[in-house]
Amino acid sequence: MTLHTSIKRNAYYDSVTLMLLSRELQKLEGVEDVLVGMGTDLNLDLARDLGLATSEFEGLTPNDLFIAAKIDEAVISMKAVEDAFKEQLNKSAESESDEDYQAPSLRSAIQALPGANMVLISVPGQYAAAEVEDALDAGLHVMLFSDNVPVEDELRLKQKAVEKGLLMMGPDCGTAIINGKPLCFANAVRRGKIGVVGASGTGTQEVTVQVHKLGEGLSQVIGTGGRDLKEQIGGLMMIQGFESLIADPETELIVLISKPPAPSVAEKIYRIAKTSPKPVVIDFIGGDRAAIEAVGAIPCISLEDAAQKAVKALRGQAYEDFTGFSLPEVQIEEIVEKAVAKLKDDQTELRALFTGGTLADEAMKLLGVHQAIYSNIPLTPEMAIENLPAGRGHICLDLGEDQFTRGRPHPMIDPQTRTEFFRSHIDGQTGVILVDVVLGFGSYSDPAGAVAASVREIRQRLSKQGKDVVVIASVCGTDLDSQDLNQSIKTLEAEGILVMPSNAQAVRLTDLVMQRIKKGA
Amino acid sequence: MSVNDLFKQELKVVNLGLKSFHNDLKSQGVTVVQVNWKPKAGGKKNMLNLLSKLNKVKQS
Amino acid sequence: MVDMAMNEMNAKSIADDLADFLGDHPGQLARVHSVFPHAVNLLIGEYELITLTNQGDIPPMGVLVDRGETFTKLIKTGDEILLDVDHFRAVSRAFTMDLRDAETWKTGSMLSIDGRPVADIARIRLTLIRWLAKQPAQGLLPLLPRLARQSLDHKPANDNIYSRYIANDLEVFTRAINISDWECALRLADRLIGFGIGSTPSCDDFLAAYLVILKIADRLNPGRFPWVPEFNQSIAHKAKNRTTLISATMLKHAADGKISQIHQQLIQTCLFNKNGELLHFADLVMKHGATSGGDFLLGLICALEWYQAAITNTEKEGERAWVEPNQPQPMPGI
Repeated sequence: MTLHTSIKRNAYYDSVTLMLLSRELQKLEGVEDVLVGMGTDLNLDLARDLGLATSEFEGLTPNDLFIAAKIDEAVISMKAVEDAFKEQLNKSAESESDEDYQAPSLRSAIQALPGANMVLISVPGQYAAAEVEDALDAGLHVMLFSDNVPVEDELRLKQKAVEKGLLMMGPDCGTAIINGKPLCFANAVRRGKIGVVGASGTGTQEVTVQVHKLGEGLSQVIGTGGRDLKEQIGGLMMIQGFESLIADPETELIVLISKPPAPSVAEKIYRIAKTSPKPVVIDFIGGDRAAIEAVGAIPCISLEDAAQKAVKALRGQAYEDFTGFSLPEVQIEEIVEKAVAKLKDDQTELRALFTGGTLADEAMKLLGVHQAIYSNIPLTPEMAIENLPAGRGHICLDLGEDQFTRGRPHPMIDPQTRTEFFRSHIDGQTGVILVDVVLGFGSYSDPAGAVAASVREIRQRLSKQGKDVVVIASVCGTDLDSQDLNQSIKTLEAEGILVMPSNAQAVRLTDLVMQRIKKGA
Repeated sequence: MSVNDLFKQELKVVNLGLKSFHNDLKSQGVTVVQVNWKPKAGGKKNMLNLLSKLNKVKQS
Repeated sequence: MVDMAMNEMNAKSIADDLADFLGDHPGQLARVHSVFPHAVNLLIGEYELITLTNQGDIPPMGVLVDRGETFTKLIKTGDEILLDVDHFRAVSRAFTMDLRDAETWKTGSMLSIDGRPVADIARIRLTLIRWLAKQPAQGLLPLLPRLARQSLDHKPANDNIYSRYIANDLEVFTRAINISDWECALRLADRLIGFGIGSTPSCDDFLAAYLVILKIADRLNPGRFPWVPEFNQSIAHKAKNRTTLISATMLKHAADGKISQIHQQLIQTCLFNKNGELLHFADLVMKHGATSGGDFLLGLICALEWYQAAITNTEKEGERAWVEPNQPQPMPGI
C-alpha cells in the first residue's frame, strides 16, 4: 500500500459532486481508502488521522482540492485514480486548459516576444487608446479592433503612427491580412500581387475572396477603420497604406475600398493615385466615377466588380463594368420565373438580413434604386427603420451595426441575432429573403448551417399558410476557409436557397425577382 | 520600423483582448502572445452612485 | 421587436450591500474566481467576492440574473469582468449584465417587529427536526438525532467519515453555546471551521446558521448578549485563513446576520410572525448547494435550541435582565 496525494489548486466543486466522486473513487479496485476535500487544516487533520497524510499536505491551502489515497500500486496507479476523478468531473464541469504563457501587460508581452511587430487590440473602447499609445511608443504596429474610441484619440494616435511610419489600423477595424496572415475577421486567401487598403471590413473580405476565386492572390490587405476617410481623420491610414503598397515590391496593383470619403480626403487620395506607378482600382462604394477616371484610376460599381477589374488589369486584360451574372441570362430568367411562381399575391416584401456592414451597404445602394427600402443604414433619413409604417414595407438591416451589437457578439461570430430576426421579421407577406453568409477567421463555425436552419423553420411556418418564400444568399468564403465553402453552399442549396457567387449578384437577382413581383401585382 | 519593413518580417503579434483572435493566429502558426489585460489604475469615469439608480426596494 | 440575445443579460435583483459597494467603488475590475452550473463568483482584489447567480437565490454581495439557461457557460475562471456602475461587462465581450432595472434586495431585512412567541418557535423547531429526519442523510445530517437531542423514527444513517469524525466536537460546541459559554465555543470552533466536504465545508454551513441566529438575537435584544458581536467576528476572522474563500465570505456575511435570500426567508418564518410555508422554505434551502442546505438546517435547529432558551430567559427576567456568561442555564424541555 502506498500513499498519494493529488492536488487541484483553486478548484471549486459543490459537495454533491465531491461526495459522488469520493464514492466512485472508493469503489475502484486497489483503492483501500480515499478522502477528497478542500485543503483546510481540519480536513487535513482528518486525512492524517485516517493515515493518508503525505508530504504534499504541507503545501496545501484551503482553496486547494486534495485527493488523498491509499492504493495498492500492483492493482492501480494514482494516475488512474486521477483519471477517474477527471472523468467524473468532465461530466458536469467545463474544462479548458491553457498551457500558453499569458503576459500580464503589453510591456511584459513585448519583452517575452523579441521581434514583436504587431499589437492586436480588442479591449473595451474607453481603455483602448491608452494601449494603442503604448504600442506605438514601443514602435509596434497596431490593429485596433475595438470601437467606441473617441475620434480625437483616433486622430492623435494616427498622427503619431504616421510620424513613426507605423500602421494604426482602426478603430473598428475588423479585417486585415498582413504578410499573408489573416487578422481578426478575414478569409484564407492565397498570397499574390494585389494589395488592398480597405475602410470596410466585409467589403474587404468580399474583394479578397473574389480575387482568390478568380485565381489571383493578395500581397497585403490593410485595414484603416471605418472612420478613417472622414474629414476629421483625413484618410491618414488610407494614405499610409496606399503609399506603402506603392513602395512594396510584392504589390503590382492596388485596390482601395471605402464608403465615399469626405471630398477633401478623396482629393488627397486621387492625387496619390494620379502619380502611382501601379494601377489603382478605387471602389468608393457609390463614389464619383468621373473623378476617379480623371486621375487614371479604375472605378467600380460593386465589390465584385472591383475584384474582377483588379484581376483583369493585373493580367493586362481589357475590363468593363460587370453588371450581370456568372450564369447565362437564360438560366437567370428561369430562376427568376421559378422563384416568383412560388409566391402568393400578397408576398411582396423584401427582408434583407446582413451580418456584414459593407455587404448590406452594397445591397442598399443597388436595391434602393428601384424600391423604397427601410433600413438602419437608410439611403435617406425618411427611410430609417423606425419610420417603417406598421411593419409593412421592404426592409434591409445591417445586423452588425451598434444598435444590435450592444452587449452581444457580432452576428458574424454568433448567428443568434439573425436567427431571432428571422423569427420576428418574416411573415406571410415576405416574398424575398436576402442574406450574406460570411466564412473565414473570426466567423462562426457554421454560418451556412445556421441560415439553413432558420430557413427551414420559416418554410415550415409559412407552409401552414400554404406559402413558400424565396431565399437568396451569397457566401463570402474561399476553399481554404475552415468552414468548408462547398459544404456550406450545399447546405444552403439543400434548403432551396439560391446561392449566388457574389454579394453583388445575389443583390442583382433579388432586384430582378422584386421587379418581377411588382410586375405581376 | 516602417510599414514596408513590416512587410519583410515575420509577423509576431501581441494580442490584447479577445482570446479567439489569439487562438486563430496560433492555429495558423503565427507567433502570438496573449496579454492578461487589466485597465490602467486610476481609471476615471462614471462616479454615479448606484444606489440612486437602484432605488426600487423589494421587501423580501 | 427582438427577444433578448444569449449574451445580453439583465439583473433581476441586486443585494443592497453590493449596490453600496458599486456606488462607492465604480469601475472595478473583477476576475472570475469560480464557476458552478448556476452561479459564478467574481473576485475583486484579494478578498471581496461577488456572486452572480440565476438559481433564484441571491446571496449578500450578489446579483440575481434573469436567465433560465446555464449562463455560466459563457464564463470561465480567470475571465475578467468590468464592474461598471450600471452594468457588468466581460472584457472578452462574451456577455454583459444590465443592472439598471434590478430591484434591490435588502440583506438586512430580516428584522420585523413581531417576534414569534417562544412556544411557537419550539413547535417550529420540532417540525423542522421531523422533516429533516426524512431527508437524505448526507453531510452532517446523520448527526441529527444526536445534536437535536431527539430520538426519532430515523432510518439508519448514511454515515460518512466526515460526520463520524466531527460528531463529538459538534455536540460539545452546541452545548457550550447553550450555556452561553461562548469562549469555550470559540475554542471549539477551531475544530470546526473548514471541516467537511464541499467548497463550503459542512461545518461552515452549520456555523453560518448559528452566526445569523446569534446576530438576530443580539439585534432584537440590544445588550442582552454582549458576547455575540465578538464571538461572531472572531469566527469570521478565523475563517479567513482556515477555509475556502467562498466559505469565509459566507461566514463573514453571516457574522453580520446576512445570508442568502432563501435562508433569510426560512429564518424569518421561524422567528417572526411572517406568513410563509416553513417546509417550503426548508425544502428550498435543502436543495440549495447540495449538502450545504442540510448542514445549514442542522445548524439552524441547534441554534434555535439556544435561541428559545435565550428568549425565554429574557422574557422571564424582564427587559433589563442580563445573561451572565458561564452561568449554567436550565435546558428547556422539548
